[in-house]
Amino acid sequence: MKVLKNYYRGIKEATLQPKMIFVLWLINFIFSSLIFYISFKAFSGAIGKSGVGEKLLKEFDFNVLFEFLFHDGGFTTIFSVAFVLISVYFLVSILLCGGILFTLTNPRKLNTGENRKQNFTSSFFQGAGEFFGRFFRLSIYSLILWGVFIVFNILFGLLGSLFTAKGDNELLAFYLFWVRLGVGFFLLYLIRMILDYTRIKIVIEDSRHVFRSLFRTIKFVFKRLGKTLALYYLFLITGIILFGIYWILKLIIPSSSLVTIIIIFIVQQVFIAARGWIKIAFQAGQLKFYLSGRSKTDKSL
Amino acid sequence: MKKIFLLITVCLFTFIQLSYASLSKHIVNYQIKADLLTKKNAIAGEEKLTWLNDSDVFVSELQFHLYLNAFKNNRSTFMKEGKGIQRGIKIDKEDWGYIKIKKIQIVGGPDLTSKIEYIQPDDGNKDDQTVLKVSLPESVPPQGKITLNIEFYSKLPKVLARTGFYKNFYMAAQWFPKIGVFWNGKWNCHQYHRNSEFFADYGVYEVKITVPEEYVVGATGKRTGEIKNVDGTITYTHYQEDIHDFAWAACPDFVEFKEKYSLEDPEVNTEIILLIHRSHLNHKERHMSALKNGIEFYSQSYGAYPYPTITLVDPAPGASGAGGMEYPTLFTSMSVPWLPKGFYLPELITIHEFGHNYWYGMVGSNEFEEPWLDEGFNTYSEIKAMARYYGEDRSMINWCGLKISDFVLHRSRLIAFGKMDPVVKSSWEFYSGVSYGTNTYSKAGLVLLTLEKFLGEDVMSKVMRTYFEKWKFKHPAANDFIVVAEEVSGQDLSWFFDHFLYSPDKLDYAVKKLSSTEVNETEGIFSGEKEAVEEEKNRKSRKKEKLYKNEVVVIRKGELIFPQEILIVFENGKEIREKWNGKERWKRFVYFNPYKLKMAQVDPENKVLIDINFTNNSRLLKAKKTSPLKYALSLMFDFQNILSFVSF
Repeated sequence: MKVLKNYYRGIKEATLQPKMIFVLWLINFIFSSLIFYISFKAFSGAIGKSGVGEKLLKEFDFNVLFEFLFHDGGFTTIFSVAFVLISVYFLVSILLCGGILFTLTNPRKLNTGENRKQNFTSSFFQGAGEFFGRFFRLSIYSLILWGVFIVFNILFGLLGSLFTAKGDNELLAFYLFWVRLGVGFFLLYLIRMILDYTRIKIVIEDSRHVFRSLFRTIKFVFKRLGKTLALYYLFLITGIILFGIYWILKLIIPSSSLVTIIIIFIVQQVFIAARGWIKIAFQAGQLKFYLSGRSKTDKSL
Repeated sequence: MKKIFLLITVCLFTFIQLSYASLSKHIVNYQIKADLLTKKNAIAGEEKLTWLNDSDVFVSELQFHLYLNAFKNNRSTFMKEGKGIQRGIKIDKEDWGYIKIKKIQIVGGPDLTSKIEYIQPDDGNKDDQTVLKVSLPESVPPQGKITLNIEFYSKLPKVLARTGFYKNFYMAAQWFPKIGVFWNGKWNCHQYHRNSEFFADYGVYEVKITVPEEYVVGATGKRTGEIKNVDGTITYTHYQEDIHDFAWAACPDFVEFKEKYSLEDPEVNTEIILLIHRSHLNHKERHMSALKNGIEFYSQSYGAYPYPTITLVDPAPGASGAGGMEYPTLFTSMSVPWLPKGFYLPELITIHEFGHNYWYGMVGSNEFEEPWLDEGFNTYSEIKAMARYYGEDRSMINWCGLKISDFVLHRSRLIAFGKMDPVVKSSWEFYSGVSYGTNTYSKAGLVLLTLEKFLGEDVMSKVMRTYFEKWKFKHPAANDFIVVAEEVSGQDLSWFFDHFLYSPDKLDYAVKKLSSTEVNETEGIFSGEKEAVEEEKNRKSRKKEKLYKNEVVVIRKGELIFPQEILIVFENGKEIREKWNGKERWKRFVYFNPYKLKMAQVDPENKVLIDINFTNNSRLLKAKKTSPLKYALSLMFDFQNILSFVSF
């Protein structure tokens, strides 16, 4: 019940933050626009003047893809730029996270009528700046968790290979692959969840002891593992449902003319904004859960 | 009355003779006894070989393939070429394989064991013992025969490539001393290579295989006998004429399925024997159905499958190195039990390996020296068969909206690799395994598909049938196919084959330039007064409508040459088709019209499948941005999702 309550509060809180959603979407859009520009240039050079362009509007052709991959240097450029952008975006997202959490922990400031706009901006960027250093350090410390994740994966792989390396139990190898993938995703999201709560703890307590916060959050999460996971997966499922809705729309709308391409593009951007909304809901829901779930002992920690 | 009786007798005898007329000239006759020693993973064998000297010279020595010796140590030519690794599996040190000749003796004559000598005709690698030479006390005269008794012991390797054992699974291929081919006045007996292992003479094989009773056995040819022995073993006799090799497989975990298969046109009557490992039973129908498709396609396309049996062996889990191999009337396929039905890999392997019964089995080209004659021909056939049975655009993958054809995958290899070698080259002389695969399989297959587009499907069909008919149960070379193609098509195709088979270069034609520029009014002094008045009149009449200089430039970017057709489309819908021999580096076409160009395209019917870039084959006057926009936005959206995922 507590989980559902916090899930609902998270969703509600995120819905009340259209500016925050807009900021998340806008920054994502700006970064991605560079990829759009480079790829549009590359694709225009490769197929803009070719007759295959018309055919590609109707259906995808692997012949053209392979030709583009092997004849054109376009993809190398796209991948290189994408790599740089992802790295920079990761840093920017640390900045954004500080803003989001700071704003969410200080809601009264945002809901006081006419000063709301100003308050949002100042609150958001104040939080972003204030917590960037601490969250960046957290990212560095989180490498320990990611290291555990990698070691676990390697050990799981080695364990699996004890039974399957000789290749004589093909179905077991197949099922082990899926189990490994499932466990891998479980751990991935578990670590992400721990990092979410650590950031929440740092913001709420304005703690400068990042490593200690990380350590104590692990304790916090494992003490309430069922509930924290349930809340996390509720948000995750919401995201999956959103993706399902997008996918259905994409299947319904054939992208074979300029108008439908633009419609699909708008749908896609709505979906990206919805992802931002879910991200905020994640943070808000977990924040509420953290606040309501802290025991006296936790508070003293 | 006596005369009539005599006539009837003669007719009957002739009829019987004709009915049982062999399909090939029997150069070899093998009678082999093979005991599978499961504890030693070995075969104890006795071989009685009769060899016919079909040449017009005296032969003073015999040469044999001893191909299991490729697995004897890490210095064999096979191991060196494969760097000890073949098909992704590293050989275990304790599981080497070898073949030992214990005794070789002429029947009724001297023991030749002491005269055994290993030779290395391909690379001089003294550590390679895959070819054996034995000098004869007396030469075998032209059309003379010699019969030998050979005792041998074959230790099978752990399955690494093609042959060997894995736990209780045995794939006995290249397991007995096999005589080479005396061809063009000399022995053609190559070492065992990473990329090739087949070239032998046709003849008769009668093989008695003894295995523990619980083992299920599949072998080349028809089973003619089955005797249970007192020691708990069972002996199966297999007999087949008109083949050039013999392989067998045994495993107690095989489940055997037999089914009669008939086809009316052409008439085919054979028995399908499927030996599938019990853990792969969910693939039974996939293999069975693909094999039926294969028999139908090859029989209808080239000629009726003539043998009484066809055996499909599905290697045991862990023995995938033995999968995807061809032997006469028996082949190995591959199962991936978890693979969704829309992934046609098992079907492709089954059809491809069955197809080798034609291109290798019946048309016995030299795989060592001209591997494209079996792999290229078979890839050509495989692409067509897969398209026919599984869909032109989805013959490899048809799963959740993802559609990829076998043709596209072969073409992608051609685009990416293969510039290091031509199609025709000895298998062990290719730059790399990838280059070998790309050229002998993919490029050769696409060359034949291009030839089909050039000659037309009917003519190509006739070419292939004629080649098959003329060269079945013989040893053709590349030139023999070229001769057939030229004879049947009535064309000189030397330009085609010279380029596509013997050059490592690539083919790429493109529309380089497309322009429509308004023609300016003529100015200045051109001729006398009378002409000037005439010109003035013309100029006035032309003022009513604009005139454009429409220019199309097509270029040859690759080294290979192919005559091209160019489609030129104007904005008013008018079309012009131009021909170009494609020899020069470029060709310009200029038209003066009162309307502009719309587009131009080389090879508008997409006949030249070996062209490595279809995208540049066409060019529009005005670039269209819709398609680049669609894919750029799609990529942007994917990237947005990645960013969203990597963020907090």
